[in-house]
Amino acid sequence: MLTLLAGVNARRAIEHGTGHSCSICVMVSAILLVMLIYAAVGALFAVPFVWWGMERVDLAARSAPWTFRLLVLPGVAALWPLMTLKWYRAWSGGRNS
Amino acid sequence: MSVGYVPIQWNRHKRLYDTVVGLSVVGYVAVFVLVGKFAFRGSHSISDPILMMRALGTCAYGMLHIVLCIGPLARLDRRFAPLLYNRRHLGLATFAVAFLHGLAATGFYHGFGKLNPLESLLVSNTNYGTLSAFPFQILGLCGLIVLFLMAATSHDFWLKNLGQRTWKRLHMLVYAAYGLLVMHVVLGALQSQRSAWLAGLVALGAVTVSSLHVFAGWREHLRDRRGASAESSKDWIEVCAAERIPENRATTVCLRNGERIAVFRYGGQVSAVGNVCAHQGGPLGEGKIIDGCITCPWHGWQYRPGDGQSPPPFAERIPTYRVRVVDSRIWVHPEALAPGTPVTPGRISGTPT
Repeated sequence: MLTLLAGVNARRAIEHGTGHSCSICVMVSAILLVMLIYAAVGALFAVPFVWWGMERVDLAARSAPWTFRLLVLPGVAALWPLMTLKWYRAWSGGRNS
Repeated sequence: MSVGYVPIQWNRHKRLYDTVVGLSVVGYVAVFVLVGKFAFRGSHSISDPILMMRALGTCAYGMLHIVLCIGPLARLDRRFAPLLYNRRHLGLATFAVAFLHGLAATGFYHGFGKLNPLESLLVSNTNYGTLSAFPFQILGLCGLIVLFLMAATSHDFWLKNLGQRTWKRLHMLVYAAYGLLVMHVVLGALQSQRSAWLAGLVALGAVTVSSLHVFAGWREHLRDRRGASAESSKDWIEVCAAERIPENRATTVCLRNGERIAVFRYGGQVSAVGNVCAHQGGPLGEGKIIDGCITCPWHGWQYRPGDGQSPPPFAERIPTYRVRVVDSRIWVHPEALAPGTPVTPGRISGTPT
């Protein structure tokens, strides 16, 4: 993956005029890729969570309107690892009871 | 409160507050752009995108200062407390304006190249070793990310599901965001616009925020020290004479472990509860009794003084403390009872039962 990124950035570096690839460019590309993957997973997780999962995690969300669910969607996407854990605990707790 | 979630619990005060904030932002940006066009004409003219960028950036910067000053101001003078009630919306507006500034700046300076604008923002300047050419944009981006996290978790849903301690720690990052944004301005705008008055304004803002926090914190510390040194008889702590507490109001006493107890006087009785509101940690002792309930001055959450429980259908609870009145002097036991524990109120002698 990093070799691929280095190759991509070598080409980009030449294209935008630096004439050589830079380690910072590679690092930045890697960071942005990780952030993009994180955000994509978060977005994919957030929709089913605000639709179904939220009500398992927090009973007070059961009758919540769609406007509220839309409001918390960015936070769910940003904190999806934590909300995944909470959803799993709520689901497994319900299965064991 | 804890019944069901809604996006915003609107009331007249919030509508007025948000209207003032919205009009102020629009007005500021409009005035900034108009003054900029008038003051810089001909060969010195500034393009519209840059004017808009600067208007949004300075607006967000100023709003962040106001957000940070509201807290200590409300502690120092209760007349500022109404500004605290809807500070959340002001914070959201600050993020929105800052986001627009970031979007405009990134699009204008990095949106026309071959690289992705965000990637261009991060790689176009790598002079981390110099101050005059430091990539200040990164500092702004980091500050914006912090503000986004705060905005995204500003609803009560997050307060409940992250836990009060985690939520509070997350939102205390506002000070980290402030530091990043001060450096963003110092290493950015102040490097390209070498103006004494601009530098003076930035310094004034930082000094104002810092000194208000220090002064408010010092005053709280002195108040806590006075309370912690109160006389005690065995396990009980003497609070004060009953008549020193106004009707339907409270006084607070600070324990040696730093916890505070709010002692309310109402209808010839006194009750003692924990000073921390279960909602966002508001100082209950600065609130008052409304409709027979202790009412938090920050967001209006209520608790019955006799048992620390919110009135039905709400389910919040706060700790209660045993209290007694001896010769018109109020005593409170420092051991906190479980939240929601009923406690017989102390009766002030001379008042009818």
